[in-house]
Amino acid sequence: MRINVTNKSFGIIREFDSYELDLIRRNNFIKTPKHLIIKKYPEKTVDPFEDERIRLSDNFYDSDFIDRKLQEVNTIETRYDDDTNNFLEFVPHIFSIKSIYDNLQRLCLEVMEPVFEISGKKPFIEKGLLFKDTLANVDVDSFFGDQLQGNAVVFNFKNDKNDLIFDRVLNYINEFSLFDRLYVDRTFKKYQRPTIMVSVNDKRRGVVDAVRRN
Amino acid sequence: MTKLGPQPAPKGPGKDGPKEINHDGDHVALDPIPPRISDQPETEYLYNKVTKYLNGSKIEFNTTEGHEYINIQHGNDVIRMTFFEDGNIEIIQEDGDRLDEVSKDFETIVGETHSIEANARTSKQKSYKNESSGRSSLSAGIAIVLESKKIILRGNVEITGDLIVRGNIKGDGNVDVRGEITADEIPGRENPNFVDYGNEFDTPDDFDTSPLRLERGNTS
Repeated sequence: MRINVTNKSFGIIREFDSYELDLIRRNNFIKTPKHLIIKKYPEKTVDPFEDERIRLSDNFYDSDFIDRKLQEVNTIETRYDDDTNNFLEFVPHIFSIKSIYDNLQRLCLEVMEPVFEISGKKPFIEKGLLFKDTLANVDVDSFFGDQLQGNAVVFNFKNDKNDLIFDRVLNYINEFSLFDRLYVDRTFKKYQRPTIMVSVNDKRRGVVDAVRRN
Repeated sequence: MTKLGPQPAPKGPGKDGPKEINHDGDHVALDPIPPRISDQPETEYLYNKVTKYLNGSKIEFNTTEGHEYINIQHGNDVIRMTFFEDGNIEIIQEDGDRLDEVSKDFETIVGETHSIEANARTSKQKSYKNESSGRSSLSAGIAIVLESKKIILRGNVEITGDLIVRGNIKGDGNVDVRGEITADEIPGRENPNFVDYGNEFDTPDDFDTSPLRLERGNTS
């Protein structure tokens, strides 16, 4: 990325007329700052009424990505199944809470925080963590597999005229984030707005694809 | 040949022999655990009989007119049980645990208010029934959790605040709404807070991809 800085864009700077700033793509993930290191992981529940959210990065919390109970420790949990008054026993998510939170935090630092900085607002997260109790018939090396592990997020921007914010954010991620897959969905078939689907994991392959939906 | 006979009678008060106190009119019989709900009773010599033992434990029968009480107090000065003239009973433990163990029924009948104050309360039973003829209230500083396979509310329900339902809403009657209903499925409307919790497990998004070439350097 090349940013041209002139005395018009920075009015008080008069020592030079133009300045070229080269930002270099990193080879390693952003290290978690000390103040964001998670000291206590949740034991079993993510409660939407709970005030004490866990901060993953400066502007994002666990509740932005997780919308249901993941694990259960002591008691048997049941949930209402259908109108026949049957109840299913709670089944825990296949991945551990610690790994999920660590992955989500890496995703926040690598993608979501820069997105926030560039766009000036929080994106609308369509899908964060997905839930499954088994890996049977699941390709772990897929975008869905990353969604199950907290490695992926699907988001877009509301009230984004002419997709200006979307394009800016997309280019930033493409050039500076260490992502594995970056899918761009402009089909408007599943989401109402142009949508970014991005995953961050150790493979860091940097695949950029357009989404096609029938 | 030695003849065995009864032991000779002990001489003097003996090690554990009772000692009459309060003969000089001191009024310290109930100290150091003062009354909690009754007034401090008065004692008058001859009418207050105290049997006190070497470790300080004592039994008092005070018959001073208008101030009668019976007091049993341990010498550790942290436990006592007292029956007062006004009908009050005080069982005081300033330290230590307490256990009431009953093999069959245990009934408590209280004519007026029954108050319990504790840092934490735990109640375990096979079934639990709580009936009030008037109003019942349940409040908590952080959260109230009702956990069961099925929770039944009989009567009208009024909710002040948000209601989050992680499942479907089904009803046999009508839905009357004074305000607006927003839902993802209504074209042209958008509910930013709506989250779909309907499925037990998530399924992969169904889409294909084709390579995309993004222009580099366009960040503004």
